Amino acid sequence: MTRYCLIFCLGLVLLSPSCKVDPKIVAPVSNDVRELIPPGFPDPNYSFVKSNNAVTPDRFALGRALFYETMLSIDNTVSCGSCHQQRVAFANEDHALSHGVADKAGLDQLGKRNAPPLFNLAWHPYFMYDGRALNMEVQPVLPICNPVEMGESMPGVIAKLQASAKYRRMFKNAWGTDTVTSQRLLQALTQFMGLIYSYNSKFDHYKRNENKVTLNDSELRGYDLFRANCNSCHSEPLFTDFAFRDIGLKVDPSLNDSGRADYTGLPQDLHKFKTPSLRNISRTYPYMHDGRYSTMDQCLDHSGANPALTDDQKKDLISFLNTLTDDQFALPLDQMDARFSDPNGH
Amino acid sequence: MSFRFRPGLLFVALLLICGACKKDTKATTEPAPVTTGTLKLKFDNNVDGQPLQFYTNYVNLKGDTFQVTQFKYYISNIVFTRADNTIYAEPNSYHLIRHSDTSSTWVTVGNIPPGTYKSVSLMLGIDSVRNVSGAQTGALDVAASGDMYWDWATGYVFFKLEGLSPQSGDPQHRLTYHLGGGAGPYKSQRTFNIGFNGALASVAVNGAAPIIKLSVNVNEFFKTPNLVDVSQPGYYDRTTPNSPYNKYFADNYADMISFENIRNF
Repeated sequence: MTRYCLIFCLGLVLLSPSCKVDPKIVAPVSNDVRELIPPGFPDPNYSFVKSNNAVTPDRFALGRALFYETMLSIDNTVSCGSCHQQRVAFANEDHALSHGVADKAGLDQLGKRNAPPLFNLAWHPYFMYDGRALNMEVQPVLPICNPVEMGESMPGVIAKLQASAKYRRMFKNAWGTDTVTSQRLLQALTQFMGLIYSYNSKFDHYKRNENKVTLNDSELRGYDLFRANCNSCHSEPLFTDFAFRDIGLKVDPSLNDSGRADYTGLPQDLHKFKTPSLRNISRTYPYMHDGRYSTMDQCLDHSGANPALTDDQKKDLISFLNTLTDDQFALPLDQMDARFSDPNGH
Repeated sequence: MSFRFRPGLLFVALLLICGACKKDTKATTEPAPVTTGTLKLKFDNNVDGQPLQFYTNYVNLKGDTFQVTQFKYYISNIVFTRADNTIYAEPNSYHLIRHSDTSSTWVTVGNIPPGTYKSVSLMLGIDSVRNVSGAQTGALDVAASGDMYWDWATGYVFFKLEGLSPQSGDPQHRLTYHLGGGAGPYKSQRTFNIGFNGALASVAVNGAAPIIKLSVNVNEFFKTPNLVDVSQPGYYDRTTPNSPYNKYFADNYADMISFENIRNF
């Protein structure tokens, strides 16, 4: 009797669609994720070793879990990954202004700016468009505590993580103790963010004579134009010199963003914003600190300091800029680098 | 499986074990001799000599009445100088003084070489390097220092004074001063070189810690070199680092801390 019951039940299980296991991104333990300096890159500004934040697979795994953890927001809906999406080089896909947790009326709040992409962060001397974050380790405190972004507090986040058996386990694996501290959670996040590298675009392969990659004529003309007109600010190999500049963008009166002057209080910093990297630019629209431009054409039309380009020149320059897309961000969604994807499979 | 009990063997084994365990009695580990002592700094928050009490009326030099409802500041980089001009610098010297927590107004500095000390230098605020370093612990833990971290920029609030004044230009008569900013023309750290006016703090090994009392006069915040008019915008509410107002107020608190007395034991 029991044997037939068993077969019957098994049959139910096998045939029932609700019992099907969802395909899940199963990330390998990231033993191959490590601190590195890509060929041709200068020394990074942030050193994991010198910061007493040596990279280990468990700490990286914790950082990755935290990056995608909505508990870091006051209403448990927003994670770093909500606005920093892997498929668009960790920028905010399709959003001009990034939005965060809901206000009392239940409406998502808008920030004043467009979430920038995240890669090669170890080379940045400062973070945010106005440079108000001076160390990668403590940068996450800003979005976590910003009432229009995640609306939480550091003690609040720590309490939530401490109450979670999953996180106590992950902290124990990472540091040998299950006590959650701000230093540990911030260092873990830094390991995740700081190990997103972008140095394998078509242009990089061409530059390094790899895989017989060549640039076509339009791309090569575009590269010439780039070196003549753009390289002084968007310098290789990082494609930025990180300097703060006012490029003459008209002030949006609805946002009234003073740029760096907000932070330094210096009049000469009015309307200056950090020069972004052009790597992965094909993925990170819309463009500028407030996402006002949807296309690269609009950016080129703007760039007041540069001589006017002909339509053909603009086409060539854009072909070149399209070669700056890293292999990892050019992949289809289901082939994204699993080591940096959402461990919850979103 | 059979086993024959051999008491003889057991006895020998015990002897060997005991012999092996018997240590040279002269070599028992003794604790290393103590060669240092302790000093205590007491930060005596006051208003022109009157002990500071929250929600109590005081008058500043301009003649405005004010009450204090919150008062916190970072003290760092403490260095003591001996009578022979040698110094002792406290390592990892970062302390958050909160008037609401009396125990935090006592700073105990240990491992001080014995001798007589004639002055102390310290910083109100955090030095610029540490102010922009990575995630910290202790007094600099962003979670534990609570509201002494900007949280919309990195870096610490060096000085926080909140209160009320009927003359305040704020609609609710609040006074709100959050000052910080570690670099640039408006940086808000101030260093104090405080001589003990001829008195000496005597540190002995295993002796009771002398108490050096330092006066922290809140009323200095409102004067010298700048006479504060709390009715004016910018002078009753200051909550950003790196503004010209920060320098204005930091220049005022640059003479806020002075020597009061020493108690040796």
